Amino acid sequence: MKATIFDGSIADGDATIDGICQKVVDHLSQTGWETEIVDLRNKQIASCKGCFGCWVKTPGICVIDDYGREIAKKVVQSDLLVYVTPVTFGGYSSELKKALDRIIPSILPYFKIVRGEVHHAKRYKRSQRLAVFGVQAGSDPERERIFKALVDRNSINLHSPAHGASVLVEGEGGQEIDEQVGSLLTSIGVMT
Amino acid sequence: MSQDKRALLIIGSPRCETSNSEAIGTYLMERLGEQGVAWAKVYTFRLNRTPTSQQKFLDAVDGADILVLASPLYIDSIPSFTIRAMELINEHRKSMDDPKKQGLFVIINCGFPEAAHNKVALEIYRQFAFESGIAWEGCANVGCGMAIDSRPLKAVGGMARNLMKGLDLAARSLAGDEPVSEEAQRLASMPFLPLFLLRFITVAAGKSEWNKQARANGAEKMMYAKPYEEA
Repeated sequence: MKATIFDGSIADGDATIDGICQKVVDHLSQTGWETEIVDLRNKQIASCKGCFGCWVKTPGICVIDDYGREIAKKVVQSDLLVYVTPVTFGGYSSELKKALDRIIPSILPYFKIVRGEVHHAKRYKRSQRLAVFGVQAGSDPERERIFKALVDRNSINLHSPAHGASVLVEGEGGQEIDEQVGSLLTSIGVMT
Repeated sequence: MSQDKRALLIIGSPRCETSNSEAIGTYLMERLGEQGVAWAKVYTFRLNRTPTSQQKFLDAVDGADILVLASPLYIDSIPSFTIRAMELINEHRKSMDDPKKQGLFVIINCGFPEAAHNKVALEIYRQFAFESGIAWEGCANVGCGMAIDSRPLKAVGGMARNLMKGLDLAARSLAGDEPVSEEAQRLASMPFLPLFLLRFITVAAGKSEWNKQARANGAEKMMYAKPYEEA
């Protein structure tokens, strides 16, 4: 089983985000998962240009030939996706979002009704569980609520079989990080 | 009427001049112009990491009393380069002792029939305004953006009548320093057609439209390709 961990920090040396990524690797490795941390800020990933070429010119592959293609490939070939990001206005950082905007080749342009709403259909049979960790400077229930709502919405469009989100406060210690990581991974069924 | 008020349209779509964000945003700005508001336009997709580019963008932001952010929905949220622009504005305003009083009106459009897809993105925009000390002036929450097809709203015709009415009302309020009414926002956010009909059209006609585009590129037979599937 493969897990890809997207590190969406804006700058190097974010101790809380680094700590979360490492704890995810530690927990998953103990249960036999193959893991990879992708340090997004140091990858060449152009912004999606909204051309839909990945649907109608080269279906399944982005027309931009850079690391964004690797992102889509890693998503498709994973069983678990882990996003780790500073909570940015309740959403994801621009670094994480830049990568996520490039995964639309992994779905079809065609539509289907899901839970009473129109959504895009799956391109691949394989689906990914989703665990998202946000980090913020201080406790903020409104930002946390928006963040969790965003993860809920992402899980529908990703056709994810299980998902969850957890928001930590910057500077939290190793034990707190360890507990929250373990708890979230357990809640989505990737650990017992 | 406002002779000295200035507005900035921040287009948050990568399609820039050929986007629905441009079509809807420009309609609102033209109405603001009729109310005596001077306006300008910038594109977040063209904002790069150079200090010159960022300073030019922030100068344009600083010069405005009203910010209008217009973007598509991308993966349940806002396009990355527009989030980057918001991060810059936020950092910039937080670095000031006494940031200028500004208001934010948001236009968001998605390709799905249900504008409800935009809900979380709108909450992110609103939270951005709050954290940046910018007054929230309201929004136009637009579904089925593909019906606009990047045309000026007046050319879209009857389908866009409520959107235009809502933006007309919003422009008067924004120019007059009044809160944009719930009625203006409701009109601007109404579906172009009854939702059941939009859903039917999107699912049924959507497929043939995508196929048509693929056919033009010689890619119709590859639509279900799975290039990253592991053996």
